[in-house]
Amino acid sequence: MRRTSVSLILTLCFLSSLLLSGCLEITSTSKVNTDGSVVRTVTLMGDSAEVCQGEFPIILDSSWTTKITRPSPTSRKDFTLTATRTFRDVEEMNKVLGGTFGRTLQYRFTLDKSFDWFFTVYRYKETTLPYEQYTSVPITDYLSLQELALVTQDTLGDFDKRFPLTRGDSLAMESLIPRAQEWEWRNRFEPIFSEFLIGVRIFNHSSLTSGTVESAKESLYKKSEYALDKGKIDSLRMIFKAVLKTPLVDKAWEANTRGIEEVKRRFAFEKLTNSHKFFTNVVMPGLITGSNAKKIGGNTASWQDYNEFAHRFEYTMWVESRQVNWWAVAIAFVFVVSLMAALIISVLRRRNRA
Amino acid sequence: MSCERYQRLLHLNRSGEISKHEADELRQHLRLCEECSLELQRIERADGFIDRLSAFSPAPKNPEKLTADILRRVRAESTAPKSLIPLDRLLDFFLLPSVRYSTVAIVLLITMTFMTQLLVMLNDISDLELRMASPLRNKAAEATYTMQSKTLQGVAESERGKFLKENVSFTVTNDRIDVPVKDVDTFLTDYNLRNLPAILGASALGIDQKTLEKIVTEVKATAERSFRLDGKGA
Repeated sequence: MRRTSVSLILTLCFLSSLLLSGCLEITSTSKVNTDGSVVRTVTLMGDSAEVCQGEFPIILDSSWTTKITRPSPTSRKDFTLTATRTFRDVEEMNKVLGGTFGRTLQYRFTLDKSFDWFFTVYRYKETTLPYEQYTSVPITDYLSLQELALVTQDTLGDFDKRFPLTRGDSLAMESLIPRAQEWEWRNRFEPIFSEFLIGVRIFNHSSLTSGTVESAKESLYKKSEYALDKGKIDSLRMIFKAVLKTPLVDKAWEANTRGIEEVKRRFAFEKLTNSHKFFTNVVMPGLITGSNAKKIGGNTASWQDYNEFAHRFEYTMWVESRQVNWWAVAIAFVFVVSLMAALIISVLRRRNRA
Repeated sequence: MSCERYQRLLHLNRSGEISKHEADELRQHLRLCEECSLELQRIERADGFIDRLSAFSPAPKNPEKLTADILRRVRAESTAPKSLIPLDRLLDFFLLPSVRYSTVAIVLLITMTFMTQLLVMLNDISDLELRMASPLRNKAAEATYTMQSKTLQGVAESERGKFLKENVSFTVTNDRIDVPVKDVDTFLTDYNLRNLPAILGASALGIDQKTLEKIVTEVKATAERSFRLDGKGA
């Protein structure tokens, strides 16, 4: 039976309009030091245009030390931009990499360091906030909580392979695909429609009132489904004009060009971010004793291809490590040996006296 | 009077402790007794020696330095034994039963704390390695399907369902049909359940194609998958 993945289909909806978009491999490596400082290195790999253009979904300002390299002078591929910055602590990371919704990816960091006698325990968390731009239509209007859990698990399983769904699950998922797609399209339609409605109000013409537009909302959506699926936002202007049967649509559209352009920009950001591949490495002090990473090598935990999930859900990458406090071990050893020696010598002295 | 008495009087006479009468008697005896005269001579020699010794007065070259040296030695010798007293007291302190037991308890506590922390760390690493090594292991095993199909239930309870039950694993409880996840694909997929008549032969299966289609429809409409994530119900 064919393996059907809702998340894959939803992603393909986006990817279908991404053929001309760039695709970067963005690798973030955070080296956690024992003093709480973090050295973060971001590597962006792609062709020369993508790397040199500088349109990245992450913040890389002048405070970062950057270097661009390429494997051979003739090759256009695999240009690599390496940016490094040392952060005093995670608070500084949160300030710098906190990001702005709709413009950059947003990260949240925590680092807990706790003294546990013979060990120091480090718990590092890096959370990516969802970058899906418009979610005014709740998914629960279209999917039950159980179906949502299934989709979530499926999405996790796709990139992490930790929660694999059986082929039988696709039966249940087949029925929810059309509803999931509709939710996706309506979420894209809503912001454009809202901005158009604002334009109608600004234009303020008796032949094109907000009441007329709102009454035609469902028709507008139905006719716009294909364009929404293909990500052709500009086509909606023509569709609106055809459905509402008035050239005043152009005037209303232009009355709020700024709002509509902002929607388009945010869609473009989402589309571009979806096209990238994200990898995250965290280098911890001491031995790694727990993590939700897909791969662990030495004291480095690695995650990859998680943006399909991180697109819609908050995704936390966490890793815990323990470092031996050799000084505590030495003190305890000396203390224990001293106590034992005192005890033994005192007993021997008593025997000699006797 | 015996010589013994006169010799005693000789010694007492040195310090003038005899009477005049006794002194006259002693003088007369000494004229006659040679032995006592010799004793008198010995006494007089000894007294002379003692007198000479008494006249001797030692005078060190630097008496102040001598005094300082003596005092220094006295102080050194008086303080040396005292430094051992705290150590002795400390060692004696460890002879107290309560102190001995407390010491053993402290040593055990420190050792056990270290060992426990070490074991916890090793256990965490072991769990992590296990998860890394077999990421699929514990998830699929916990999943199960529950569904309702009166048609399938009827078939399963009849003689006709013999071949179906032999080829597909499921249990019927009241109105509920439970299917282990590892067999749910075999049970649900188009390639198996629907094609069983073709695989086994319609007559051998004892179920016609129409009944099978009805079962598939009912199963698809009611199949609910339950699964657990990280051992917690989802």
